[in-house]
Amino acid sequence: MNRIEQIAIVGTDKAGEADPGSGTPVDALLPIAPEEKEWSLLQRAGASAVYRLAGARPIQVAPSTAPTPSETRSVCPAGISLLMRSMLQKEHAEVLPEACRLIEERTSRLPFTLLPLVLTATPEAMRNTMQPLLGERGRWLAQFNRDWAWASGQTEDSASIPQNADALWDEGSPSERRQLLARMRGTDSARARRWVEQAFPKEKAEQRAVFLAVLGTGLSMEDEALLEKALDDRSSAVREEAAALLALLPESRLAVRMRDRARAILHLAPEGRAPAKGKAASSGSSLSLNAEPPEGIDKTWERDGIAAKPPQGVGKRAFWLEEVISRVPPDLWEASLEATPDEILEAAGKTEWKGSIQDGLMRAALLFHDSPWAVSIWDNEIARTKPIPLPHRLEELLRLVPLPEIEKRVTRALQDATRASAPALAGFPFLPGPWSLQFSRRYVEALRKVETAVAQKEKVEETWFGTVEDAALKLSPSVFPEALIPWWEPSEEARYQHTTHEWKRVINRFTEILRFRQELAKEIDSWPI
Amino acid sequence: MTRTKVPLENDKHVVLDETGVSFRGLSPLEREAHLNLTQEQILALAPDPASAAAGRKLGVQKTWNNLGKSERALWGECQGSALYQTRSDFTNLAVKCSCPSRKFPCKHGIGLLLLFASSPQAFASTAEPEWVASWISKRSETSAKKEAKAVEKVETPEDIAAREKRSARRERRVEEGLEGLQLFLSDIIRNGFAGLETKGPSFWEVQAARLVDAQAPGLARRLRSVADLPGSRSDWPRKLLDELGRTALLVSAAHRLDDLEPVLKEEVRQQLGFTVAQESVLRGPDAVQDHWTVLGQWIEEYERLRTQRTWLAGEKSQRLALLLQFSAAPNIPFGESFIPGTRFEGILSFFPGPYPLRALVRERFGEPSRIQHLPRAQSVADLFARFGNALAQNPWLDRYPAVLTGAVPVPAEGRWCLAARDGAAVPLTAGEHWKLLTLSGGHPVEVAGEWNGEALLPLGMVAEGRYHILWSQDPT
Repeated sequence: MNRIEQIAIVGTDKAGEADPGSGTPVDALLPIAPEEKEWSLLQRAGASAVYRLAGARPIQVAPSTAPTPSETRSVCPAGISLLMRSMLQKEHAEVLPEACRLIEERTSRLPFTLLPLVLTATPEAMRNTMQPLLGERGRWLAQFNRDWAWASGQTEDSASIPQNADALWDEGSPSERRQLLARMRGTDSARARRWVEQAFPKEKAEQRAVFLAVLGTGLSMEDEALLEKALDDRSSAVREEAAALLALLPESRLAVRMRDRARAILHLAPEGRAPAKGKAASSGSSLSLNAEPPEGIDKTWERDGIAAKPPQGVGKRAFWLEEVISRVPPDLWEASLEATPDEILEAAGKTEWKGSIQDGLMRAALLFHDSPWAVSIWDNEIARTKPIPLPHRLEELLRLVPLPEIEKRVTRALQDATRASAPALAGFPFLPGPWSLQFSRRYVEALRKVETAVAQKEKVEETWFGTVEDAALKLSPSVFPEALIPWWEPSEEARYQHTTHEWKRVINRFTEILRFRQELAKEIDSWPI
Repeated sequence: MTRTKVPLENDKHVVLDETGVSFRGLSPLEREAHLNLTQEQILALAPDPASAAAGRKLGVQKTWNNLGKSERALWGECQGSALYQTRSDFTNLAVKCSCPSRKFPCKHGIGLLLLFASSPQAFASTAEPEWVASWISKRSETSAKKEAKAVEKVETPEDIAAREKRSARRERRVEEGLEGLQLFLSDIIRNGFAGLETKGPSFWEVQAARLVDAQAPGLARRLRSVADLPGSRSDWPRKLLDELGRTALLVSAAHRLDDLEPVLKEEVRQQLGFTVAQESVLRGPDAVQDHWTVLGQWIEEYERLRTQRTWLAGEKSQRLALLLQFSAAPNIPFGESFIPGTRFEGILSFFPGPYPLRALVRERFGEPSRIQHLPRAQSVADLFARFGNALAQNPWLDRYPAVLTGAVPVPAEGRWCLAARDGAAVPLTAGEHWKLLTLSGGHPVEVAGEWNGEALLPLGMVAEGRYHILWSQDPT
C-alpha cells in the first residue's frame, strides 16, 4: 500500500501530510496544491492508476495438467446431438437409454459442445451407459470438477481387501464399516462373521441389526450358532433379523421348528383329495384343505420371530397362520399336501382362511425366491373373477417370474384387450424393449380396441392406462406409422370424466414420445456409415 | 445457361448459375465455411432460453411449407396455430415474421435459420414471393432514406439560434455538476474511506442523480459503478481510490476543455455523457472499408438499459472497432444483427477521439461468411503492450478487445486464467469457464474477449477451425 492510499483511508484531516507520494513518476507532474490538498491528491491517485494500468505485466502461470489425448471414436451427427440436448434438459428424458444404445451401436461419441451438459445433467442411473460415449475428452474433463468424477471411468476395486482391514473395522465410521463388512463377506465370509461376533457385545442395537443383515449374503449353516444366539438379543430389531435369516437356512433349528409348525397348521382335510367324479372332473382336482391355527402361542413361537400380538384390525389366529406360512419354503406344501402349487392355491381359495393362506404363500415365494410358485400365484391373481386391488407385492413377485412366462401371459392379455385383467397387465413393465415387430403390432391393435371402448364410454380396466407410456418407449420403430394414426380424443365436456381424462392424458404422452422417437430414428437412419 | 465463376480467397472458386450456387470443387468444410452458420450462433440470437428451446423445436422440415431462397433472402411458411410467414434478409440475418410474438427474433425466425443451417437443400432457389420482395425493398428504402437524411440536413437561422441556446444552458448545468462533484469527492478524501462501508447506497445515488440532472450522465455512471466497491473485496480501498482518481482527472480536464487537443476534447465530452449525433459520425472523415470479423459480443445491463457490445477487427486496415446498440427491454430488438464468428464486408464510421474504437456501420455488402481463425491474434505480452499504448492516448479507456493465440485455459479454485506457451497469463472473469476448457481440451486455442485491465471476459474462441461463442445471456 503506498502512502496515498493510506492517507485516503484515514482522511487528509487526520493525516496532515504535506506531500503524499504515489510511488510513481507522476508525482513530479502533479504537485500538491496546499489550498486544494484533497483534490490534488485525487488527481495524483488517478494519474498513478493509469500509470500502473498501462505498465502492468502479465502474471505467470504454468498449465499443470496434460492436454486431452486424441479421440478414438468418431462424433455422432449434429441432429442427434440436438436431440440429446433436449433429453438432458429433461424433455423426453425417458428416451435417453434408447438414444445412448443407438449411439453406442455405432461406436460413436458425443460432440465436445455437449460435454459440459452431459457431465452435469446425466441422471445417476444412466451414468454407466453414458460413460463410453464421452470420448477421451469427457473423461479428461472429469478431473477438473468434483461433480464429474463419475466420468473418469475409474471404478473402485471392490474385490480387494486392504491390508489393515482389521484396524479399519475397529475404527471406521458406521457406513465405512458396513461397506467393509460387505466386501469382506464376499471374499472371506468366515472372517466377516468373526468380526460380527466380536463386535456384538460392544455395538448399539441398530448397528447389530445392520451387521446381521450384511451376513445375509453368503449365508450358510456356519452362521447358525451366531444367529440362534441373536434370537435372544435384547433388541427386537436384531431378533427379527436373526429369525428372518434363520428361516432361510433349511437345516437350522429354527427352520426345523417352523416346518413342524407349518405342517400342523395347514394340512389336508380328513376327506383329503376326493376322487374327481362327474362334473368335478373337468374343473380340476377337488383338493380339500384344513387350516388349524392355534388359540394361543408360547414363547418359542415369539423367539422364532412370530409376534404374540397381531397388528390392528387383524385377528390373532389369521395372523399366526399367515406368519407361519410365510416363513417356510412354499415347496414344502407340494410335499406335505401332495399337490401342485396351482391346486394348493385353488384349494386355499375355498377355505375361510383364504386371505391369510394366499398372502402367506406370496410372502414365502418372495422370501425363498421361488419362481414356479411366483408363476402360480400370479396366475391365481389373474384368474380372480372378482377384481380386487392389486397386491402391493405383485411387482416384487413378478421379478421372480421368468421372461418367457411373462410374455405368455401378457400376450394373452393383449388378445383379451379390454377384458384383460389388471394383474396380467402388470407384467408389461417387465418386458424389456425394444419389442418385436409382431408384439408391437399386437399392442397397437389391442390399444385401438381400448380406444373404441373409451370412446363409447364403456368400462375399461384402468391398468391399461398404466401400460401406455411404457409401451411408447418400447414399441418397435417399424410400427410408428400405424401407432401415429390419430387417436380419439374426448370433446370439451367429456374431458372432465375421469376415464376420458386419463385416456387423453396418456394418449397425448404416447404420441409425444413416439414422435420424439421417430425423430431420433430418422436421424439415426440418415447417419452415413 | 449462363455460368459465372465467383472467386474465393483461397484460390478456389464457386460456380453461379440459374439454379443457384454450386460448390463443386470445394471440400465439405469449405462449403460450410462459405455460407452456413452454426446452430450455436443462431441460438445465440434468441432473446431468452425459452425462445431458443421453442426455436429448436421448429427447426425441423415438417413444420415448414414453401421454403425458398433468393440471393438476398430466405423464407418459409410455418403452420402453427395459424399460418405464419417468416423471412430473413441474408445481409444481416434480420428476421420478420407475421406471428404476434413480441419477442425478437421470434421462435419461427430462429427455427427457419436453424433449418437453413442444417438442411440448406430444403430451400429451393425460386423467385421471391410478394411478401418477401416487398419487405426487402422497403428495408433498402429505409436505409437509403437514412443516408439521404444524413446528407441533406439543412438548418434555418432559427434552428441554429435555438440550438446554441440549448447548448449554452447545458454547458452551464454541466459546470455546476462538475463543481458539485469536486466538492463531494474532496470531502470523501478529507474524511477518509474508513467510514464508507457503512454508508448506504443513497450516499452515492443522491450525487449520481444530481449529475444526471446536470446533464452529465457519464459522470453519474462512474459514481454508480463505484457505489458497491466499499467492503466488496479485500483491496477495495485501492480500487476505489483508482476509480475516484480517474474521475477527478476527468473533471479537471473538463474544466480546461479549450486547452485540450480537439480529439481529446471530444473524448472528454463523450465521457461526460455528451452524445454525438449518429448522422455526423456517418458523415465523418474516419470511414474505413474493410472485411470486418465479428470477434465477440455481449450484453451489459445498466439501469434498465441493455447495451450490446460488439467488437470487430478489420483485416486489411488492422483497425479494431466497438459497436454499441441499445434496447430498453429483452423483447425489444437491437436493430441489427452481428453474428460473432462471422465476417462481412462493409464500411465503418468511427466516432472521433484520441484512440477511436466506437463505430457505426455505414454500409454492408453481401452475405456474412464464417471465419476459421481469429485475425490479429497476439500473445499476452502484446495485449499488455497495446493496451498500455492505447491508454497513453486515451487515459479514460476502460475496456479493450483482446485476441489471444496459443492460449490454454487453466482452471483454478479462485480464479481461472488463460496461459500462453511461455507462461504469461491473464486472469479470466470470475466463475467457471467449462465451455472454453472443453473445447480446448488443454490444447492451445484462439480466444477473443474484452480486457478491462484486471480480467478478461471471454467472448468467443476458435478451436480446430471453428468459432464457438463463449458468452451467453443465461448462465448455464
